[in-house]
Amino acid sequence: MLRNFLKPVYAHCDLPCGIYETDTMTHATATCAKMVEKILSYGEIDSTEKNNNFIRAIQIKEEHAQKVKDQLYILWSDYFKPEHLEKFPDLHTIFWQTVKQASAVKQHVSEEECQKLTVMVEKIAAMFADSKK
Amino acid sequence: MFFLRRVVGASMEPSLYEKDLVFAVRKKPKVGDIVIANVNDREVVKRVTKIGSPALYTLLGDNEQASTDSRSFGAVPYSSLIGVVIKTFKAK
Repeated sequence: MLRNFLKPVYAHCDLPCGIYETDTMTHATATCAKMVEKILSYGEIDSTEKNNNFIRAIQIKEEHAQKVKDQLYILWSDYFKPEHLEKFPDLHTIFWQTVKQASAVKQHVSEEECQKLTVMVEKIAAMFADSKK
Repeated sequence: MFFLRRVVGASMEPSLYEKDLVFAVRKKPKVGDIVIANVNDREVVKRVTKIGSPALYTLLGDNEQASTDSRSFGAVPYSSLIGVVIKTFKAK
């Protein structure tokens, strides 16, 4: 409780430098798709080794889906500013839907959900690049 | 003079994690010390990796992959340093 009243010191990487990028979320999305491909390829789990890899693939997928969400939150809350809404009026909706899609990828083992997320993340990367012009 | 601060962020992992507390005192840092510095009106916590001339301190995060440090904001003068961390209190 007391901790929250203490002045913070930042061990951040998104602030105060103002360096933002979309590569991390793009790579994390690709990792999710790759993990789903692996999970679906295992078939019957009939050995300890296979079980180990299966569990690791699930864990990696969920970690990377969460990474996508974290990266989206940083970009949404820290990078994009009210003035960007003039250029991208549906910005909030796009981010909200993409975060929800990342949750769907985290929750399910679905190539279709991964594909949807890939398209949405690409759209946000394009929007980010466009905002810098 | 001493300072107690709460860590926010992951750039000093595995030495410091989010919500850890750091206790710092005002003294001259040496290479290897973790310090609190004022950079662009924000207090950051980093490690001193080099002391150049004239008294310019290179600060890096232990977690290089997730750290904004002297690689982007350059070495900082002694006047930017607030204190040297002498004790940490782990959140977990």
